[in-house]
Parts: sequence; structure tokens; C-alpha cells
Amino acid sequence: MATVVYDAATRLYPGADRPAVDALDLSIEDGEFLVLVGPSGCGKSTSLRMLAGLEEVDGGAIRIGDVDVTDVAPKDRDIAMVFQNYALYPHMTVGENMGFALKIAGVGKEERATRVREAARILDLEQYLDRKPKALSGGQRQRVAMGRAIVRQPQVFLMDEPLSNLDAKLRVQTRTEIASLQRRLGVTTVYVTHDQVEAMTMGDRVAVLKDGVLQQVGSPRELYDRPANAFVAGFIGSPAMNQLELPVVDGGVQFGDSTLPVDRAALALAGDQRVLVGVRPEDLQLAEHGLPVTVDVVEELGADGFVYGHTVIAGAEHPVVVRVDGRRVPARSSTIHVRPEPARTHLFATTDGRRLD
Amino acid sequence: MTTTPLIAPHADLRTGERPAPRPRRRRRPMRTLRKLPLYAVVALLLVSVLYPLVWLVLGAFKTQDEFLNSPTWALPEDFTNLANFGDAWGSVSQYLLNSTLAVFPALLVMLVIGTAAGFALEIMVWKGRNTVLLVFLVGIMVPWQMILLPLFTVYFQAGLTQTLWPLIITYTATGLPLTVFLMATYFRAIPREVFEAATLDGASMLRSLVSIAFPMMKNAIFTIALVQFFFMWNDLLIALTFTTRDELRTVQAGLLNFTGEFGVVQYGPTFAAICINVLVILAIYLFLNQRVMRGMAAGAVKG
Repeated sequence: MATVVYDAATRLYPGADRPAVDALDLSIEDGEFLVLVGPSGCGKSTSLRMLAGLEEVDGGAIRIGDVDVTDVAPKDRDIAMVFQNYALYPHMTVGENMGFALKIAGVGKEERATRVREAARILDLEQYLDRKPKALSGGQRQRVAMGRAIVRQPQVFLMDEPLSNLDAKLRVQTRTEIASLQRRLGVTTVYVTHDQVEAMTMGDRVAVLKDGVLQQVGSPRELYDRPANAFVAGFIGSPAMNQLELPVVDGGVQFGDSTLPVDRAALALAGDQRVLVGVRPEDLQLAEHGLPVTVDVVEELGADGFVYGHTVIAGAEHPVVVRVDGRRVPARSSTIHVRPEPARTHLFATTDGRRLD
Repeated sequence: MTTTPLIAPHADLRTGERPAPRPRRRRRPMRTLRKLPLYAVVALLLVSVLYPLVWLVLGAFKTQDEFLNSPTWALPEDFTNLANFGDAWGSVSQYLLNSTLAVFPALLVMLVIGTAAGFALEIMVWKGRNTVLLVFLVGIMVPWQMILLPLFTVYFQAGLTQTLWPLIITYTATGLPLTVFLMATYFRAIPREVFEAATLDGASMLRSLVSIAFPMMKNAIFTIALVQFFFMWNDLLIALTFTTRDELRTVQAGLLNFTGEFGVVQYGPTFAAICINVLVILAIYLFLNQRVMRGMAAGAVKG
């Protein structure tokens, strides 16, 4: 078990004009479950592969524990990785797959068998040890891949979208299993996913990346309540946060036919006559006055309902999502008025999307 | 594992009975008539493929007298007459041994080097690997008939002409470009992550090659082995150019000279010798083909 530190780690692919990972500074505590999340192409997998030693580090350093592993061979980093497609060896049985690393490390036959059986017991794979991967279901293969990592008792687990090949139901179930297994074993884990729900439910902390640049690191709650910029605000949360570019008026921001009071200091920071106001769907309430929204679609989910509509600001249509009581949903094509809860609004600069309040 | 179906496959599921047979009897002659040209073409193809083989086998049982005095289409008088095979085996056994000694070592070396090269070109990451692959591709395009004479000079000066080494070396070299190219293509189909997982598991490059690549490529290796085996075994030009003595002749080169062995053309033993050659190839084909047909390894990644 160990800490992991990315110290301005940079990866520039040959021929590319901008780095895939740009000066990543990230420090992961001992035993922590850190999730790297972001849209595809944001550099999250590259960051993980840099830690694994599968990608070169072109600048900065990576440390595991107190050791600088930037130029250390993958096998000497004491890490284990679970791949998106599991990467099992098709010609070996489940037991051989799990014991391969130990065999190479020269661990004796008996100890190897004991450790493989122990890992198989944890993952409920005991009856499959003599099978080949092709005779297993997707979920079982995923567990074998996990088992291959556990058997080695490494300092750090690396997981690269290990759930994306499972069906929706199994994904939810396995998500919980991995999270609880990690807490039980207490091994520092770096987990890559593009699914923000996975990130929010599994991680102790979540790091959001975009275009190779770290946007924000924090607990799921921090990310949800105080996103550092408009990108994080839009990426975390489902349905996504409403973001509307609104004019600054005396005493606040013009929100439909009402004025939304906002902090003067924040407005001063904007340095512009417009600000980006972010409101989560659950923080918008139906009211007599406020922002008029024309209802396009209503999604009824039982207890809640989501209203997908649009509003017109300065001649342009903007989509708006509102969470409403599932038993009292507005009719399609009707116009409703919504007002935000002032304490739950987020202000971002229109220029670079940074948080103002 | 076998399972017994609960219901006969054609039974009607609702009633559990077989559907009543349709009245087809009246339409049958028409259908047969319509398919007649197809049958005729198939029959013609079969005859044209099989007859030379039948003729070959029949010829192997005929005596020299029958060849010269009986009508061409006559059947052999005695099917238990194996004298031709006995005569043929005397020299063919040496040719078969030579062919085996030249072809199998060449095949083995070619497959080992080819797999290793395919691995190095597709799995390992290094600068210029695409250029090297291109060079191998160029190798496929070189007409090897053109380089036979220069090669002969080289072998002669190296003092190898009285041995089977020129054949082994030439077969390996001429087969290598295609093998490398095919292996590289097969390796491309394997997810890189499998080898990355091996690297993280602590396997060296050599270990990855031996423990992961070779077993995973088993079927590809057998497929290429089958193709290259026929090319090498049936080669005449290279064998004829580089074998200077009768004791070194391979089967193909030997068969060419078989006819003239006793001064007159000995049809019976010649046919018997060809029969033996065909049987050997057939046996090897059946063995290798079983492996090829098993299909490529599955289950490495999500299926």
C-alpha cells in the first residue's frame, strides 16, 4: 500500500501538437479510491497507463510511495491493472491466468495455489478455476481479471473502465462489489471511467479531466455542490446542470421577468455584462413568475418527473431541464415559469467558464 | 456433450405431431429435370478431378507388359501385384527422406523466425518497424527464380553443394517474407492489452513470446505451416538446381528422373512412386488440417 503522486506529469504523443496529458498534478492518499473521469479523449486512460508504465512520461514525474517510478519498468512498479477488455490469456485456465504473475515471480507451486484459491474464494470463482476464459460469461471474465490483480497483492490497483463491457444490471451490481472489495483490501486504487455515475458512487475522491488538463479534484459531494468551472458543472450530475448566459442587471442577474440576487463581489469578478448561471434541475422550482419555459418532453420516473423544455434568451433557444413532482407534471407544449433557489445557483464567467462565487 | 431433444426437430410444436407431408410426388420429375444441367456439370468436374487419380492408382498395379500391349483403358490384370511399389520404394524412400530432411527443418526455422519477427513488428514498439515490415513485403515480390544462379555460386563457394543445406536455407529464406507478413497480420488481430497484461505480470519480451504469443498463435502457425509445406514439398526448381547427386534428390526432383532410371521408361514403378508421394502428402495434410480447422482462439476479450 502506498501513496501515488503525479508531479506535473506530461505525455506528448509523437506527432501530436498538444499533450494528451498536460502537467498533471495529483496526489492520491494511501488506501484511497480515486476515480479519473472525463469525456473520451480527455487523457484519463493515458494518465493511468503512465502510472502503469505502459506510456512514457515526457515531462514531470510519477511517484509510488517514496519511489520515483518515472523510468522504472512496469513489472517493478508493484502495481496490477484491470483492462477494459479484461485481456485474459485465452489458452490458460482461470487458475493459470490468476497465477501467471506469481509463476513469473518464482513463487512456489503450493503458495501460488493457496493465493489463487484465496482470491477465487473472495471473488466467488472457485468452481471455475479449471475453465478457460471462453467458457465464462462476461461478468465472470471481469471477476477473473479482478482476481488476477488481487492475487499479486500489489501496492496500487489500476482499473481502466473495467465495467464498460458489462450489461447495465451487472454493471450496477459489480460497481458495488468493486467498491466494497477495495475498502476491504484497503489498496490504493486509481479507477478510470467515462461514466460520471460510476465516478460519483465509487470514488473517495474524483478527478475530472478535460483535454489532458485536470479540472478539479474533490469528493463527489464537493464536485456536485461546488464545481470549479462550467465544464465540471455540466459533466457531473444527471441530467446535466442547466447553464444559461444571462445579462447582469442592477441587484443581480435578469432571470426571466424576475431578478436573481447574486453576490456583488462575484459579479465584479465577471468583468462582463453577462454571466453563466448554472442551476441543477432539482434546484429549479415552479413559480408564478420567473423564467418562462416551453415544455417539449416530460419524463415521468414515478416519484420524480423531468421536464425537458426550452427558453428563449436574447432571441436564441436554450434547453432547460426541471425536476418536478412526479404526480403533478405539466402538460406538453404548455409554458411554465421557473425560479431557482438563490443559495443553490452557480455563477461562471462567460469567457473561460471559471467559477465566480 | 450430447443432448437429446425433447421434441423431434421437425415436429409441430403446438400439436406435438409431425406436419403432414406435402404432396410432392408430381412435382419431383420436373425438379430433377431442372437440376439436370447442374448435376451434369458437377459430374463432369468430379470426373475431371478424380479420373487422373484413378488412372494413377490403376497404373501403379500394371506391369510393363500391360502398359505396352494392353489397350490404354484396360484395368490391371492383377490388383494384388505390388511389385511396382516394391521397385519404387527402393529409391523413393531415399527421396522421401531427403525431402523430409530438407522441408521440415526449413519449415521449423521459418515458423520460429517468422513468429518472432511478426511479434517484434506488431507487438513491440520501436522506431522504423513499419519500414522493416515494408522491406519484408518487398521480399514477397522478388522472383526467386531470378536469384537461383547467384545463390548456386554462393553455395558452391561455401562448399555446401554436396549437402541438403542449400535447400534448407533457400526454402527458409523464400518462405520467410510471406510468413512474416501473415504473422504480423495475425498478431494485429490480438488485442495489445493481452501483451500489456503480460508485461505488467512481469513477463519479459521473450517470456511473452514463448508463453503468450506462441500458444495464442498456434492455429495461425499451423495454417501457415500447411501452406508453406506444400510450397516446399512440391518445389521442383530449387531442388533441381541445388541437388547435384541422386542421393540428395527430393521427391519431386527424384520423380522427374525416375522414368529414365532403367534406360527405358518404367511406367509401373513411376506411377507407384507418384502414388506413394500423394499418400504421404495426404497424410500430412490430414494431420495439419485438423489443427487448422479448430478455429482461432477465442475468449481473450469480451466475446
